[in-house]
Amino acid sequence: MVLFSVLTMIVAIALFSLRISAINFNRIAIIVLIYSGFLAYNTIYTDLVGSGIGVFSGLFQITAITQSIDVFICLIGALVLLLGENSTIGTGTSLKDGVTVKQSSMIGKYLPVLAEYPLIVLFSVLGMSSLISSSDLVSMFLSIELQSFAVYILATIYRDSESATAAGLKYFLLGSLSSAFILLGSSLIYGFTGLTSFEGLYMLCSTTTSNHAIEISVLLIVVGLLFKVSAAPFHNWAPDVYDGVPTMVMSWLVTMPKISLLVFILEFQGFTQLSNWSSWTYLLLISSLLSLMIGTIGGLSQYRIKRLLAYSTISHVGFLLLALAINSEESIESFLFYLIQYSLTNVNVFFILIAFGYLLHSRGLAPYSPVQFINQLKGQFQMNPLLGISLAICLFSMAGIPPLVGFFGKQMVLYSAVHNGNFFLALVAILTSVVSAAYYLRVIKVIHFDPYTVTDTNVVNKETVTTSSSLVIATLTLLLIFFIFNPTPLLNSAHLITLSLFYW
Amino acid sequence: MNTILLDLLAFGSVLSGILVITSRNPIISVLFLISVFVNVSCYLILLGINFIGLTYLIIYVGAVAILFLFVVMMMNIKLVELTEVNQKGEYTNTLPLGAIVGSLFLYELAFQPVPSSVSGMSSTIYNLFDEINLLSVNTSFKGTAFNSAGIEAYTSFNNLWDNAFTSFQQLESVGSSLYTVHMMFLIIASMILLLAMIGPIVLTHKPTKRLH
Repeated sequence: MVLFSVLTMIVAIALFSLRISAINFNRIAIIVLIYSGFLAYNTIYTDLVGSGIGVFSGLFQITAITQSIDVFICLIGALVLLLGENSTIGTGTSLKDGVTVKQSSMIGKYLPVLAEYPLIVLFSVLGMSSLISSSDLVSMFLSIELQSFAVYILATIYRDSESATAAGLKYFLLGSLSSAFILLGSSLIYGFTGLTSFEGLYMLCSTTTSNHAIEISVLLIVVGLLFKVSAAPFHNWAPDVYDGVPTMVMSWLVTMPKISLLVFILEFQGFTQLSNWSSWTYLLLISSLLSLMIGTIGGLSQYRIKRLLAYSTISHVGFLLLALAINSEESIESFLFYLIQYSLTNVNVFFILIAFGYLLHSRGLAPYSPVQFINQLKGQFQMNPLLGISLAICLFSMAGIPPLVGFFGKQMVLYSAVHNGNFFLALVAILTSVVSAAYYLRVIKVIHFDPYTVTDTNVVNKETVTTSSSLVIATLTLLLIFFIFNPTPLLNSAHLITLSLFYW
Repeated sequence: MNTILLDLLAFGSVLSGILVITSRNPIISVLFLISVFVNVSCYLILLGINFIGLTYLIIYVGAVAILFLFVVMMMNIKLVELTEVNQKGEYTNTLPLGAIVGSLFLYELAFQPVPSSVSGMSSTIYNLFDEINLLSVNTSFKGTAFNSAGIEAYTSFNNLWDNAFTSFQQLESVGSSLYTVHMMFLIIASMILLLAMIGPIVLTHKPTKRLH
């Protein structure tokens, strides 16, 4: 479905881009993603799928986990694409205003939406959904490349912005370095064993007790993958890149590739982990320890909000890797739950940030990423109380304050870590999440309690947030709050997916 | 005789690979790059991998390296800056680091610093590989769901490269595996190429403004 829509959209954009506006392409892409998510939901036949079916002559596999994550990726992708609505509606209304003087001064300030943006997004969704279901080294590499090429192009798609171009170039160079690591590892595996399929690797790994060559090459692949999810020793590119690109693109870069890559690491671990305590576990544990610490300590000194979010992403990746490293049933369950709740919260934060930027645009802010500094949000609670409260709720949830959904994610991860005997890492995780609460709280303090300094009140026009994005913000925020009253659907589905992974 | 030739070719390719990095003039280094490719393709052809060797010759030497040469000649880089860089010792400073990393990597691969319980690892790996091949040919593991659904699953795990290459001519075997069993690779690769075509257009295309 995604494939066909990509092909039709290429033709459509080439031919009709003058007649169909970019926002319509955006909406079409959203509908496409929702529909393909529905198709993927429709094909979850747990009985038939069992422990996995190899499709396309064993190069790809379908399990319960790939199908459900596919649904999730499509829905989150549709949500992130919906972010584009805000800015385009902004241009639409300003064009319709008819006040010519105002119009000419306003046009440059909006983020122009390109018709190609949803197209490239669809390409990367195609790569993601094939990555999570790949079961061969070559198909893994091809899907990773498809996904990350699209993401590199997305990073530079607003080519008029210098910072975005620099960030995209950096992302491209470092991303291709990590791809080279992955390629080196897979070629070593092929050189040592002559196998490319994960099934064969799994059999080889389960027969030998310790296999040095495979271990090294698998480690190289995992290093490449960790590079791409910006886990800690390989995190250096993340804050720079995320800070450089426009906020709308950043929401895609932060949320989406991580989901597919982390789920792929989960599956790859299932195929190639030799024993319970192998180099896999150590690598993931070390990386999680470092990303927890660097993510929190680095975030403390940030005054640009997007760098702060990048560091918070690194620390959350640390939690996810901790859950992955333990690799027991409850930890995988907590991993899936954490992934789902974190992506939802993150998308919500970006919606609110873009809404803030949209409301603040009249005060001469940068067009590509309106809210750059935390101080720009000063006293916004007086202006937009609801947006301020929802941002506070999101940040509380990220920090792990009890009644919100983020608390349960952290609690599950920590519980499984303690249960497995990783007391030190659990302690580090608790401490770092306390420290990270400090920088979330600082943002909340700036929004709510700092005095609102209005120097140019006459310029502030009464623009409102569009209905679509306010609907999304409201829904996601309510989801974060009221999760505690009806936690069963999400928890049970994560539990069932995990059980299907372990007991088939 | 053949082995001596192979060794010579391997040595030549490594030597010209080093010369690519060390030579100061970019044009000369591109010429050495071409010599690397020629050496490698001769090596492959001597080994009997004709198709890939010829592809190396055609694609890399014929197209890519010549393109490099054109770009380098058109860029008109000042040689003075390059020599200054070398005199500062940027190259020689990084040499020990490269030697350390490289030797560590080779050590990890060639020897086993951690003693494993399996003795004589390399031979056991190859034996195991044969066993696995046999297993995967005879039984279709994990494919029970397929069998119950009445769909044959044998093609799923029939991708043993070595068998494919001995029974056909090389070009035939590449083509047959690419267009039958591994058809999906072709599709994904074509999507990547399509994206690689669209990407530069998106990034560089400036839509002409028309007056409505």
